[in-house]
Amino acid sequence: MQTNITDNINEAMPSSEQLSNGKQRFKIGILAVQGAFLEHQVALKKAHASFRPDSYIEVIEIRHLCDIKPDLDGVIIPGGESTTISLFLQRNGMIEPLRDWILSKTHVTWGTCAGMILLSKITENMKMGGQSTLSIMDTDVSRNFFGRQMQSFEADISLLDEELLATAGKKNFHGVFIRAPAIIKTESPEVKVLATLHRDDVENDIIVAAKQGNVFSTAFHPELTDDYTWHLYFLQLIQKVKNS
Amino acid sequence: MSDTVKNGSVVEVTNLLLQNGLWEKCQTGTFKVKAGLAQMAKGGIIMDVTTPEEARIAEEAGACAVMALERVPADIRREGGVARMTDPQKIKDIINTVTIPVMAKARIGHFAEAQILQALGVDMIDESEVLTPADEENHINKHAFQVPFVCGARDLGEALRRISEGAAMIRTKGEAGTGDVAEAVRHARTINKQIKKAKAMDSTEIYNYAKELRVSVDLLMKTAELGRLPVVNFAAGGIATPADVSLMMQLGVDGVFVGSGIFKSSNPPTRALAMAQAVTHYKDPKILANLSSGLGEAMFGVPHDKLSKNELVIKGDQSNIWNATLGSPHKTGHTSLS
Repeated sequence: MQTNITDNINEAMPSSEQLSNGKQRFKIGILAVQGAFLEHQVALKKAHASFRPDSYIEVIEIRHLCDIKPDLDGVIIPGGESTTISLFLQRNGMIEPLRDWILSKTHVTWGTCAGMILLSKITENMKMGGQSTLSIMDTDVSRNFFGRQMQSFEADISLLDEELLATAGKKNFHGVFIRAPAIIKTESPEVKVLATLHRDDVENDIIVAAKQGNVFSTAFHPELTDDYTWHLYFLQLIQKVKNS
Repeated sequence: MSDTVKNGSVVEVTNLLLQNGLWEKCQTGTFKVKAGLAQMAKGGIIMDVTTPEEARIAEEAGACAVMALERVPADIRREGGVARMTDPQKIKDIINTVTIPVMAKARIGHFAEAQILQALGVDMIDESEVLTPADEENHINKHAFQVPFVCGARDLGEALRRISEGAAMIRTKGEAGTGDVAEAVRHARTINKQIKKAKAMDSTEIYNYAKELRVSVDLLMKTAELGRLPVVNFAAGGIATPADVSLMMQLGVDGVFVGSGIFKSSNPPTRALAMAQAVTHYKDPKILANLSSGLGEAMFGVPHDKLSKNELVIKGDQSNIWNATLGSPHKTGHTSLS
């Protein structure tokens, strides 16, 4: 029985020796303050299995300052309540270190829903007294843009970015929007629109995903669907940064 | 694609909020969307509040949602009387004060209260045994609503029956308003134990177990396969300290509800903040030690087994309210709604 347990551990966590035997390693941190962080972990592992089965993925939860390590390749800031996450980061002195980590050119960051709010430089409809953000992307994000839970919805969005289209192999993605934000304005030409939501009753398509440098954000929750396109896109971006 | 949305161009939009959030090609009120809200609350703390001021304290502390109540469970217990849905005006005031999700309680089986709460725009409804049940036999058909529901459960059978009625989230019933965590622990452990049991069963045995639990075999099989409840599961009822939060989280729940524990303590803002941090740091006793230091008096609390019937029963018609909803079935021998 004892040996079985040890075997399992070895299988799950290869020693550094095994890693130096040529297996590439993806080390991803998921901000585990509050929200759907486990869902992201599951989706990421499934996406990785189809992407690079020859490599190895290690996913850690970021709850403390000391978890923000330079050797992480990518970080996901999951959905949850942006106020809850932002207050926690502020109280635990994590805003500046996380911001510095994200701004490093060798690091890839993805924010979903609350993560989109935290990554944006400008936020509308904040809680009374405002809320601090990581202030990375030149976007203006409106919290709860679509309304309250009664207006939460599922709908197909259009993918615009070429790399993303290649990853997805289709033009649409089924988005789940929970009290979701939206990007109402991009403030810099550096911001690339990745996906939009079309509505007949609204003149302009609504921006629901955007990218600036190695940082991107989505207003919807790919971790709540069985489609791993966005997790694959995240891993491919890391691969690209690693290779360059 | 409109001309303004082009890669590399700066986009200008004037409206900050969509006026009518719905259009024909979107699906609202699907189970995925309902369960999704519960998933977004995971790893968070939901606090009972009775005024907009308390709601602000909860939001500032880092609560991921608030539950708008007329009275906290400890007061319902003390004052007795029929406990009903909160005054809609109070719910509106709270909705207008905070930006986090606002939940509200409806009586068990009282679908008209639930319809009103849905019309008010609350983000989730708690069909709660803390209020006086309106229907002794039936729960609300929660599939018929756009808004998600959370329901209490003491064991796997209750949890799966509520899920089959459409509940998007489950919480332990615990012993609300007592400050005694023992019942919440019992309910969480019972659910865990029953899931483990179902997991170990072969396909023949599971049919009989489904019959025993009075649940559909498909839902039980799905639960056994997942090794957990198929929806988000929170702890509730009697949680009063950061240590209680850690205990429940380590028993495997996804988050916690705190009712009387915060606003019945001596220093609500400090305690609210400590509890909100505890839910993320539940695995770290050193941090919990710091968080638990100097919080002032926790709520007074009544051990659940010391609750005499006289304390709970006020008079006449209400004599079986508490027995039917909050009492321990093992101690009162009373079969309550399940």
